Amino acid sequence: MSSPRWNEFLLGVRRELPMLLGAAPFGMIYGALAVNAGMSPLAAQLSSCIVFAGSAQLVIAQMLGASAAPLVIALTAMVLNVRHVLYSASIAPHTAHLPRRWRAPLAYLLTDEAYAVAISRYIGSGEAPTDARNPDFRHWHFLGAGLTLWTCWNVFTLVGVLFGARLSPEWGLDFAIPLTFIALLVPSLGDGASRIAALAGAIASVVLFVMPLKLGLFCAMLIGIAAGAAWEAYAGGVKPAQRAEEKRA
Amino acid sequence: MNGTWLTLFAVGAVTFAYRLSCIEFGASARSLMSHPRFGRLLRFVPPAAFAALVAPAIVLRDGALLSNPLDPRLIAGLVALGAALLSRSVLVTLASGMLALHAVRMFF
Repeated sequence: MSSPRWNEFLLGVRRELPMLLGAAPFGMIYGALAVNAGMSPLAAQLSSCIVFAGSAQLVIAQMLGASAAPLVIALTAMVLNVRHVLYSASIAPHTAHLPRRWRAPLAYLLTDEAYAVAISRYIGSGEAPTDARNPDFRHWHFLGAGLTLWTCWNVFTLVGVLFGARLSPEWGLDFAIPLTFIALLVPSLGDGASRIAALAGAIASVVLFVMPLKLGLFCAMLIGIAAGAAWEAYAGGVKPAQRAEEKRA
Repeated sequence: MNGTWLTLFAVGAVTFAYRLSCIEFGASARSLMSHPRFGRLLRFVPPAAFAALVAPAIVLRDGALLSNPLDPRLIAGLVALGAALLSRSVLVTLASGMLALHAVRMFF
């Protein structure tokens, strides 16, 4: 079986495979920690279909374990996930010519790891951009990459859920959740403004910990974001010319 | 439907809406959402959010600041931070932190 569609699909699957080295253990860690935090195995598993965003799923599990209110959990996860708007904006020009039956499933599959692989096929391949006058099969590549990640994430969530139910609470596994967040935090500390955002978020979350309903976490995230942006704007990050350009935009 | 399912469906719906936003609403949503200022704010979501998630778990115990500088979770957190900086791997960070936690508990 060989057709341009199928070849693109298989290329997407192949290029997604290296991403699974990170996604597979993370899915397993998520599944094990979610059931240990008190989620039912079914809810922990279906979260990987319904939410399909690892760090947000981990936050939901942790906050449910701490008996936070659903609305507050949702607000917190929404802040954490807002980065997906950027991926959507970045990929949109390449999917604009597709019918809705393609656009909606591709949007559902647009995770960090699938975005990275899909966008690499659209830009930097040296080929002409895709549009209505120049249709091609690169959306099959996107689909292959996205489905590969989805399958891996759900299978390894299941492994974690099955395995996690056998772990003893004496091992201090609740501590594995903040440790996982440390691993996710470090790659984001690339520049001074990001470090200020992290520092402000950390201090605010400790100071505001007494707020009811776990609202302190949500507020601390907003404070950290604002601090990073303020540092960048006023401590030398933005050049006047760049700011003038933004005003025109 | 209890709170857990309500939370999952709410977050799932909003996450899908984020992912669909610019893909579905094209140029108008793109010009709003990919505004440079908005993009610059989004850049700070991961550091601010992850640091806010980590800090209370490391330095607070039952809602109060740690009084013991040799607290196992504090030391394990610092070990994990070092491991994350060196390895950039979730598994290595997790393993170092958990090992440090149990080592400190055993020896102090």
